[in-house]
Amino acid sequence: MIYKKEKIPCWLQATAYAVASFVCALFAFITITAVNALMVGGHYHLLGTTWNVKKELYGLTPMIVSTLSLAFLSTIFCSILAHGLFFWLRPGTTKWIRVPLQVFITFMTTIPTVVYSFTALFLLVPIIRQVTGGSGLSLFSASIVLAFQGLPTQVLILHNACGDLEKMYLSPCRALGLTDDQTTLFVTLPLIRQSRIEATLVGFGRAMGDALIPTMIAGNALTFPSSPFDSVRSLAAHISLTLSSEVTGGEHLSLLVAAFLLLCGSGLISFFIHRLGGKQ
Amino acid sequence: MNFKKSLMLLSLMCLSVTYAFAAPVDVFKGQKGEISIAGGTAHIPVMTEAAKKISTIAPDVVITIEGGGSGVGVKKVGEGIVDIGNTGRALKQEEINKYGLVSFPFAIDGVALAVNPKNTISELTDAQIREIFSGKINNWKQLGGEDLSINVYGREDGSGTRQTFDDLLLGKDFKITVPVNTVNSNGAMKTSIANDPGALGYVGIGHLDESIKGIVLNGVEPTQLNASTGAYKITRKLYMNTKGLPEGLTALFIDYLYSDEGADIIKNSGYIPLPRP
Repeated sequence: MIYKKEKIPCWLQATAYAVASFVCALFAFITITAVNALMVGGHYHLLGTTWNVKKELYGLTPMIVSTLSLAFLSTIFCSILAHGLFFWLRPGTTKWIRVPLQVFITFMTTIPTVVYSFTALFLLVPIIRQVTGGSGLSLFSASIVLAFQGLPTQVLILHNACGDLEKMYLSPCRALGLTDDQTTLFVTLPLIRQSRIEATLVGFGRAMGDALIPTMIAGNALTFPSSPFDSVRSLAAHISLTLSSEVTGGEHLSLLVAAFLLLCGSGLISFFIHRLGGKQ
Repeated sequence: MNFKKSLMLLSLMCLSVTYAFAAPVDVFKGQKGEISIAGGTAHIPVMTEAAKKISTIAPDVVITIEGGGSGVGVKKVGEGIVDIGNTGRALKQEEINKYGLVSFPFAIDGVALAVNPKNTISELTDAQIREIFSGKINNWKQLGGEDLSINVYGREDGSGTRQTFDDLLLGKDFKITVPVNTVNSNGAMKTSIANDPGALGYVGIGHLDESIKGIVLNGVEPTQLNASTGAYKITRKLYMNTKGLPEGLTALFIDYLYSDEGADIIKNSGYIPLPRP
């Protein structure tokens, strides 16, 4: 049977081209401004390790390290929680737990970031302050909030990847003498390994790029983190903090480079996810 | 004196009396249009009160006020997005060159050190503050207070409040070596200090209220009265900035803030009014 090649409607093609052009323009703009900032602001040492306004040194390295630490720690918390919740969403689980949990997790995707941050500021931060000393505004506190923010996305990716897979394997595995937990642990989870990595990468990317939670919870100190309970500033928080104060000079140039670094990070993550998708 | 002359004299007298008793806000009567204002957060109480008085007499004059910080004020007025861009610091030469801005300093604001109301410490010297910001003193116990770590809070680079604090209290060459938790508005600073029993930060004197405790510095209480007499030294000017010389409603608004009524608004908002330069 010969299928006739369907012609894509003109407006659909136009939409695709418009979106692609917009993304390309965004990349080009950020890249050009960042390269220009690095060339014009060479004497500011924008990729250096020191941030000292009085000496006109605007090194972003402490913020790069803080961003990666924040994303890494929150991804660990988030992955652990997501895998735990995933177990409760399996087809074998009683529906009195599974269904409300699924509704709740879907609801979590609609909660605005500012609600998480605001609540954490008045509930989580005082607890961390009492337990660890210091101000409570820290890498650790922000990581926990970022983990909760990214949790529904990770859980839903895992749940969707599992799909009918578990249902298909449940009966044969039971017949082989495996419990439902063993089926999930030794059959389903290894089968959806690519999706688990994809979920982790998505979580990492979101944590890296979020500005509001680190601005409100991480403390924003311009130093290298030496412990999880240190106050840190992420690149995205740096952009939101400095944008309101400076329009010229080294601080302003540092924003352009920070935006470029974040875009590169997101681009790399998208590339890895795409590669994983191909393999799957 | 004939009847015509008497009538003219009487009309002239009536006009003079009307003019003498006209309130400064009356210049807005019958005016229509918009004034958009953005920038420094310390300015907002003054701008809001002035807008309220103007809109009572001239409902067709719409005044929009938003914060954002000094940088936003410079950027928005420079790019022609708003009519007035507020800053809590003098403009930098490069900002003036880039956008052709004109500044109108209209008030003086003191910058006060503040702690949580539960903190038993009420008085510090500038030497002690330098020791805190250099990390030599890191617990309130060392200053006679409770055994609680000192959590230092500061403002973002480019903040007028921060510049005043850094330059006038710490000194231009002082190097801060403690990690400083950074917030981006006077409001956020108040929230942080009010929630943290070990906090030490700074805000505009106009923002001091029962939620935070102003620190007596070198024996001088942080009040606008002490700032106006010069007894309290940590002060800064608040500026309105326009792109080129102001015209129309924007010029009227700026003139209004330099009037007696404007000075009252500034005083009632907790600042010290300045005469037109």
